[in-house]
Amino acid sequence: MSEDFSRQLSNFVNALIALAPSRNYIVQFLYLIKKNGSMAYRILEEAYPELMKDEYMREAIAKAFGVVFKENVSLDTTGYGFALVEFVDKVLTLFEDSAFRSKVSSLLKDEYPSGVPNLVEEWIDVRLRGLMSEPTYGKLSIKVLKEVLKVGRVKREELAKTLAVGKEEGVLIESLRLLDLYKLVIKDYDGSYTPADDLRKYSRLVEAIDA
Amino acid sequence: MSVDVKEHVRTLIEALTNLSPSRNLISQLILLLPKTLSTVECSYLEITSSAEAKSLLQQHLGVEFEDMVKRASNSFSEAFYKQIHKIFDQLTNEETRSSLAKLSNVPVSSIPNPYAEWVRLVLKKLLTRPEGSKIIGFLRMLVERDSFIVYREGYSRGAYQPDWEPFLEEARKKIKANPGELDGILRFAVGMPDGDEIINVDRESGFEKTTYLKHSEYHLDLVSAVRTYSYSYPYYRIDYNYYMRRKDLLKEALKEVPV
Repeated sequence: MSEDFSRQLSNFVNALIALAPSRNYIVQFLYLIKKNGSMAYRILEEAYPELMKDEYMREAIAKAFGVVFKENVSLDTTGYGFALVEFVDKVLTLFEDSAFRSKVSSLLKDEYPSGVPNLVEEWIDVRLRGLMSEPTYGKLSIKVLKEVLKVGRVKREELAKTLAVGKEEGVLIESLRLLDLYKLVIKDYDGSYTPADDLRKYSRLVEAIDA
Repeated sequence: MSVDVKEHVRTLIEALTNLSPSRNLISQLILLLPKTLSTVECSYLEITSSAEAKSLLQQHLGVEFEDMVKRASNSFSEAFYKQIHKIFDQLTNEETRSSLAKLSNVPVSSIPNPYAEWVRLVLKKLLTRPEGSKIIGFLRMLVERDSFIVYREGYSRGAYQPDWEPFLEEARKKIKANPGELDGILRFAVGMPDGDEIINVDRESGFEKTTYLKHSEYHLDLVSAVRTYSYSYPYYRIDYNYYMRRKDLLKEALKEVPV
């Protein structure tokens, strides 16, 4: 393989990796909004204070990425943010493919001695670490995730009983809300919770956490 | 821990810019497909001479290498092709550039413009063609106009007449091109015969408006076409107009061309 192609491939792969929600705070913000359809303004204020803090910042984000800041924050489907995160989904799928990673890793072995990253796995890892750092809901959220993964489908009342949350029902409600926002669990129409598909695939990441 | 938003915006802009075809051969190849295999082999030897590179593009990025090299439908390369156009649009838009400059705390002038870079590269490439100076001459005339009436029907005699064909004739004479050459020039400057992409359709009772983006050979994509049909018994009208896009940017780039 020519040296020139290696350089081109390296630039190409590095640029794609830089677009991952696990690596870029702006993409992460846009990606979560898109995955949720819309997100409550006050939740985003807590989760992304640096982007939500002042009108100057919000206005620039709105114009650059087509973010609509109302009581519920959403992405304008004709704006760039929407198109970008749709493409980011394709990038994640590409980097989840082990054959792709293996081929690129062998072509760029000097640059990636331990292989190019699986960006889907990395994104789950980032969300899990985000959860764990949550002082009030983090610990219970991880327990909830472990239980949801174990049983496959569970209702809040059953979780309250199994995890013996007692008077901390409010903390459980908030933990589930957080897990739903991070799209680690899916809330079904009947109110039961199931693990998100990508979490199911990488359940070992949750199992490895000491709750 | 506080996040440095400026740094993340800069990294994002850098990644998008590095993916643009002026900076990356893989992006360039994906943008310019479909092409014949012999053209691709001749123009992208770095890629086609390596079995590993070819297999990566074919098996994972969705580039089909047959007699015609093309983007496979629903493939990564197809999504990427669309994204390149979005990056062009995004980083050309003045309001967006100004917002990105605010977010990254840099002057607007230091925000890269991948489309402008691409235009400069394409103009250089065009000049290496035998009819290069004629294409440049045609582009110079084209960017002096805002719009053209290509075709219309259902108007009274006193109405404005189509001015596209007269413009083509005037341009052809001025750049001294024969009719066959003009067809070739139009592929680069206006659009390829099969290069129309529907961007938007508005429909209501008695009215339909379809907007197309005309993709040209190197994706300068300078023209959007709008076809409208309106009907109110017993009258109807059909309009087909061209509107120039990004002409100021092209004008600037053309100033640097030594012809």
